[in-house]
This record gives sequence, C-alpha cells and structure tokens, in this order.
Amino acid sequence: MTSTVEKSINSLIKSYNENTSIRYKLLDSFLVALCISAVIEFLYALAINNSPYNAFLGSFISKVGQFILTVNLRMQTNPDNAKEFQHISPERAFADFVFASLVLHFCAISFLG
Amino acid sequence: MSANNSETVRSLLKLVILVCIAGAAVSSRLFSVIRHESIIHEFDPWFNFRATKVLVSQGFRNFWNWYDNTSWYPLGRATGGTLYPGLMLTSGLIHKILHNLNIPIDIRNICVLLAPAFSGLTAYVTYLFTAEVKDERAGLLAAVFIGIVPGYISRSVAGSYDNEAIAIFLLMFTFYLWVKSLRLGSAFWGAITALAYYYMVSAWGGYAFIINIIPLHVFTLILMGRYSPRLYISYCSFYTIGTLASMQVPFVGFNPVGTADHMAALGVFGLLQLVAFTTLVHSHLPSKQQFETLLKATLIAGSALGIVGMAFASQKGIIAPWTGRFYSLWDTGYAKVHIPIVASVSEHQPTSWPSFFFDLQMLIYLFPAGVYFCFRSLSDHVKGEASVFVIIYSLFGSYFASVMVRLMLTLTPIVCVASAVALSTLLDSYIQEPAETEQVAQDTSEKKDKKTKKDKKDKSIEATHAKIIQKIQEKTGIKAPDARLLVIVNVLLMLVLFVFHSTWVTSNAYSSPSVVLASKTPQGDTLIIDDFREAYNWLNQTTSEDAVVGSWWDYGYQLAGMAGRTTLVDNNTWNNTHIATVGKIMASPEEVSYDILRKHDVTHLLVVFGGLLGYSGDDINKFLWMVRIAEGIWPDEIHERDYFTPRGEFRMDEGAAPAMKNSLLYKMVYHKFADLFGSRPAVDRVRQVKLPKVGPELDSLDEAFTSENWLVRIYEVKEPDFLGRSFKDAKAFNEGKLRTRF
Repeated sequence: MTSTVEKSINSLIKSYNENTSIRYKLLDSFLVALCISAVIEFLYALAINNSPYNAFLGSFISKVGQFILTVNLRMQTNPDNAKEFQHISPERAFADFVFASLVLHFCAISFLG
Repeated sequence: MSANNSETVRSLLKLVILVCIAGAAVSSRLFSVIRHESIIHEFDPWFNFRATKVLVSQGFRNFWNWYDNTSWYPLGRATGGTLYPGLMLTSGLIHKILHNLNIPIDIRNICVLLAPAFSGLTAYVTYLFTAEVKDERAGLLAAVFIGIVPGYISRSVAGSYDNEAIAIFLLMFTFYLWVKSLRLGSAFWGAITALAYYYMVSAWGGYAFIINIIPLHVFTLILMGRYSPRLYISYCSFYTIGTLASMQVPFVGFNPVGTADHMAALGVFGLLQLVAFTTLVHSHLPSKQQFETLLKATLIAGSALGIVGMAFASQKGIIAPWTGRFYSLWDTGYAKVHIPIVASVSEHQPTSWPSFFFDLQMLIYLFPAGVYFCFRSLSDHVKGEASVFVIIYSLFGSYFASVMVRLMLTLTPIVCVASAVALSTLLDSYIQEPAETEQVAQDTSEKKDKKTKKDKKDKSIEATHAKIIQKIQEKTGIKAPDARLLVIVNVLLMLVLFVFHSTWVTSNAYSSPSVVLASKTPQGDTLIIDDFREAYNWLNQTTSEDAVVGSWWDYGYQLAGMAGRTTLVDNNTWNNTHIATVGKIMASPEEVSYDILRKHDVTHLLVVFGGLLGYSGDDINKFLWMVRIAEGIWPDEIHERDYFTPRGEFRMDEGAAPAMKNSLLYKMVYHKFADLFGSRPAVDRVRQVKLPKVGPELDSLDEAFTSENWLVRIYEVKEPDFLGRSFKDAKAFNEGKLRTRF
C-alpha cells in the first residue's frame, strides 16, 4: 500500500515538473508560501494566543482569501479549462483577480481596526 | 435588419413592462396611506423609525455608538451594537441624497415609502433571477407575481418600515448574483455576490438562510458529480469575502466563525478545496489506478481531519452550539417548553393550511409543477445548476414556511419563480406560432431521415406518416386552435382572478396600520379608532419627561416612539428576566406589585383593554403568557395553575380564580368598568362574559387616563403614604371607617 502511494506521488511530482509552465510554477510557489504562513499563524493562535481575535481573523482570512483568488486566477487562465470559461479571457481573469483582491483586503483592513 | 429591429422592439417592450410591474407593485402597497395617512405601522417599525431619526439628527457616529438609556430601564440598551443597521442606513442615505438635491422630504415619508419602493426593485431582481433559471418570458411572469403576491405584500406595505422591507430584495439579489456568478465562473461576480450578502447581513437576521442554502446547493452539485472550476471559483470567492465582510456588522461579530449555524458553509468550503486539489492531481496522474489510491488516501485523511477538528472545537466550546431559536425550527414544541418568550409571539406559530392559499392563491398549486419542470431541465449544462438551486430553495422554503408563519415571507419569492416557470412553459407550447412548430417538426423528421438513410422506402413512408399525424394534430390534437384557445383563456382567467384576489387580500388584511384601527358601523360608515395615539399623546403632553411607563413588552417600541417616554421592557426582548419582572407585576396582588413598581421607579402603568370594543389582542388575552414567563423566573411565587378555576377554566366573571381576581392586571383592566353600564350588568365583549356588579378596587394606583373607547388605560403609581401607613389603612382612615384601639 505504502509503496503504491509512494509510487503515485513520485509520478505525480514528475508529471507536475514536466507539464507545468513556469508561470504556473510561480503562482504555485506563491500559493505554497501563503499556505505555510497561514498554517504558522493558525498554529501560533492555537498554541500561544489569538488575541486580538479580530486582527488574527482579519489576517488569517485575508491569507486564505488571497490563496483562493490566486487559485481562481490559475483556473481561469488554465488552457485545460478553456471550455468552461469561454467568456473569460486571461486579461479579464486578471482584472477579476485584482478587483476581488481589492475588495478582500479592504474588508480585512477595516476589520483589523 | 428586421431581426435587429424586432430585437429592439422586444427590449423596449420588456422595459415598459418592467416599469409597469414596478408601478403596480408600488401602488398596490399604498392602501393604508390613502385610507389613513402616512404613518408608521405596528411595533418594530416604530423602533426602526426612532433609530433612523437618531441617525438623521445626530449623525452616523452617534448612531453607531448609540446607548439608549430610555429603554429597558434601569438597564438601558447598547442599541448601536445590537441592531441590524442596514435599514436605517439605507433610508438615512436616501434622505441625505435627496436633501443634497434640494428635495426637502421628511424622513418619516422616506421610512413609510421605503418598503414599496424596494418591492419594485424586488420585482426587477426576481425577473433577472428567473431569467437565469429559464428565460425572460418566465422572468416577466415572475416579476408580476412577486409584485402583487399577498405573501410578500404582508411585510412590505407602505409604513411597514421593518427589516424585511429591504431584506427580501437583498435575498433575491444575492441569489441572482450567486446563480449568475456560478454560470460565468467569475471571481468578479463572486465578489459582488459577497458584497450583496454583506448588505443582507447588515439588514436582517435571515441572512443565515443564505449562508446555509448556498453551501447546500454547492454540496448537492458536488454529490451529483457536477463539480467544475466555475463552482470552485464562485463559491470560494463568495465565501471568503462574504465571511470577512459579514463580521464587520457589530451585531453579528465573530458568529460566522464561531457558531454552528455557519459551520456548514465552512465545511463545504473545506470540501471544495479537497475536491479541487484531487482534480488537479488527477490531471497530472496518467493511470487511473494511481489516482484512485491517492484520491482515497486524501479524502479519508481530509474528512477524518475535518471531523476530528469540528468535534474537538465543539467539545471545547470554540464553536457555539445551535441557538434555541434554531432548534425551534426543527422541533415545533421546543419553543413552548424552553423559550416561552419566542412561542408567545403569534407570528412564530406554525402556519395553517388556508393561509398558504390566502397568501399565494393560484401560485401554491402551480408551484409543484414549476419544481417539476426544474427537475426536467436538470440535464441542461448551465441552467441545470440554477434549477438545482430552485429545487433546494423550494424544499427548504416550504419546510420553514410550514413551521413558522413569519417564514412564509422567504418562501414567497421562490413560489413566484417556480410558478412562473410552470406557467411560461405551458404558454410557450400553446402560444408559439404554428409556423415555428412546423419548422421544429420538419427538423426532427429531417434528423430522422439522416439516421435511416439506408432504407429509403421506410423513410418515405415515415415522412408521409409524420405529415399525416401532424395534419391531424393541427386540427384535433392539443395544438389545434380550439384547444389552444381553451388553455389560453383559462390561463388568462386564472391570472385575472389572481390579481383580484391579491388586491382584495392586500386591501382587507394587510393594509391596516394596527396603530389606528378602522371598523364599520352597522350603517356601513368607516369608524376610525385612534385610541393608541390618543393615549400616547396624552403621555407625551402631560407626564414629566423622566416618567417611567410600565407596560407589557408589545407596547414598548410604540411608547418610546410615539410617547417618547422611558420604558421597562420593549419588543427587543433581549432580557427575559426583565420581561418576567413586568409579568410578575401584572400577575401579582397589588401589595407585591407595588413594591416592585417602586423599586423600578415606575410612575405610570399602561394596559390595553378590548372588552368594550371587542378588540381581541388585549392584555387579558396575553395574560397567560405573562404568567408563564414570570413563572419561569419565580416558580415559587407564580403558578399558572392558580389563575384557572378548580375546573380548569380561564374565567373573568364572578367565578374567576382568586389569584386572577387579585392580580394587578385584572384590577387595572376592569377598574370602574361596571360603572359604565349603570344598572345593567357589565359585559366584556371579547370574552363574552358578564362581569361582577362590583368592580375591583385599586388602592396603590390612581386611574390617570382612559382613552375614548377604553382601549388604553393608564394608571399613575401613588407616592407612598406620608405617614407610612399601608394604602388600605389610609383609605379606610380617610373614609372614617378605621377604628383605632388605644
């Protein structure tokens, strides 16, 4: 069982390295960085303290939100999904990304107090 | 050129029709303004109106930090942080804009007319929503329905300045944006949905419905195997931004991350991440078997982690359990046992069958047909998703509406949408041009031709067959002119009847301000009964400004709004103990009540009595709830059983239970009532009983005011006797009856 899982993971990594363009790798590294920082923040809140709670929530959710929006951008521009997003050009996807991020961070900043 | 032209004509027609619908929606809500005057209705609107006046006169900052020490005396209420400010901010903004345009309209008129104005917008939004589900023809029908259906008018007539006035518009608007963002898969529309949701959160507690129904929709779509990147994008962008935004409303606070009501949304959010991740992995894994092992491993690990995390959080109390009000939705007996204050409100009772027909008329039987047509269009790639939404909303809306009368309001929009889908499907097949159907028939036969190219003989036979059948159908089948006429005339008749029914219900049932009552004399003249305003105005004009008026909580908002006096309890009902105190005052004997009254600095007591007029919503009919709520806090002193006769009757006449006869409310209500009838026996017209010849005596209160029809009676609490005697002794001494022994 473990060996098959290991094998699958290896082939997954290989396929990822081969089939992903450098742009998406850049986006993915941003995603991973967001993920790591969100996890660290969450663990800190869990283990040490989470007050002021609104500040913690604001920054944590803004990280999660940024993660989501970046994934959205990645999905919308991915040529594999072109059939799903006929109305959305890559430029439009980026505009969506910027608008939604602005709204998100506006909310987060006002929540930080 | 001609196609282009007809398109322009069509869009112009649509615009004209929509404007007409909005006009009809607004004007059918103006009955009460025309009959009475521009006046705020009922109870809660009076508070909203007062809050809006604070906003307009003292500015946003003071409104936000408003601490109201004239209500819930002596506790006060941090009003700014315990209300949904959306409604007041909306009318405040309109007021500001109009004043900047040099239109000096009074804030009261804005408040009165806000609900009709928003109902016009609701009609438009419902049109857009239905157009997403089916097409624009159905949309127009849905707009007409929502514009005049009594189920929605009941909460949006002119003067009904309540949260629901704008909330239904926001509900439909959010749902429309959600369906649209799902269709486009656009983060932009997801963010707009989140903003509309934020507006909704700031306006009405019913936002919990949105944050549960949308995740449920997403969950169902995943289960149906219809996950798509569009779903991920629209839901995730909506959820993250919406959650963050909704926490900006002070009254909501950290609830979206801390209470069970919102956890379904979070769970679905987590699930979507898992699904998206596995799809990504899937695209990189060549073999199916590898993918399946990985999928199993991640899914099992992910759900186990999620469930353990949730269980841990609820165990530790990080996630608050479901609230009592929520339990009462699933277990209809719950509220009566655990939260009598919720059960005591008439609009929290289960809905009776006739009221479905009363509020929705023909829509209620078109509704299931509409849901059926939504099931039929499930296979449609894009509209199918909207159909799933309509189905889920219909199911839950129907359930909630049957549990609580009040929630009929959330069911109404979807009933309109589904009925419009049903009706327009019917009309589509009967109104369409015969030429078009022929075309369709030819198309299908042509397709068949291609399939059966091999045997040409069969083809020619089949074609002639089809032609013959078509000819026969044109003359005798369901597409024949007479059949069409029959159906269309029937539908028209139903629509006309619906309009008449709606107008009748609106005019007769939902347009009464309830502050001013209207009745008919035997001669047929309208009689206006204005006792409430008379009494509140009396309080305003004659009592000192720091007077504290005690009354049952129903009248708290009106007292604050119209009389401008300090109240003990009001319709906010946030403090059960304080309400129970008032219940105890009303239910206890005079001596006990007097002490409580003095401790709370009460100067006046107000009771509502309908016995002379036959007004059934008076305090005697609410009395048992006062007793029950008081018993909940003081089980040793108040017993519900004592207020019934030994045979278990709730009587007001000679045979009333002693506790009843001694209660302060009984004495206040029937004080000197018998004198009004002279030598004849006094009759209470609500209870239909004859009252004792000698009415109850009051020692510690003075009758201060009784309105024209005895609807409102106000008593003044006496100062303590200057010699420290009890009121009974003092009275007896003054009458020369007291024998002193030396």
